Amino acid sequence: MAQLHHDYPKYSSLNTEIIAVGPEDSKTFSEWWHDHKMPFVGIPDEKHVIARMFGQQVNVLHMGRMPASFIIDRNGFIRYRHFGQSMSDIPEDRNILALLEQLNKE
Amino acid sequence: MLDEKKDIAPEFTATDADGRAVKLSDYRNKKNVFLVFNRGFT
Repeated sequence: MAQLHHDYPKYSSLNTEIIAVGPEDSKTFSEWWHDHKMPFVGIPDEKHVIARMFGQQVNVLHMGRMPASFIIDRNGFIRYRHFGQSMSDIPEDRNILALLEQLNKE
Repeated sequence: MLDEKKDIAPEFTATDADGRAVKLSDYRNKKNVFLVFNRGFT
């Protein structure tokens, strides 16, 4: 999240909004979000409703969700998806930014 | 690589950390969205 926070202006300049979804309850999530002054959209998804829609995996052994990320284009189509195979398996921002640049050229 | 298959993203409406209603389709024809699911924030 720190990397996304840092790179948020780059995402904005590529006409992209970031929406981050977390498994906490609304109160816990909102407190964290405001404490960290996150500049983009954050959604608590305690009941895993949105996570299920997008097929995010839950790792029972690690007592939590596995990371997942998606690029959705302006027409509402999913153009990139990444399902983490471990808790630290998250795509690098520079790769996502390169894909967004490519998308904006279409 | 961008996916050429172009599956339509499922629509959702949710309340964000600021108490605002957020719909994925609010961004349609306006912005790309990078949607991130985290293992947890706390």
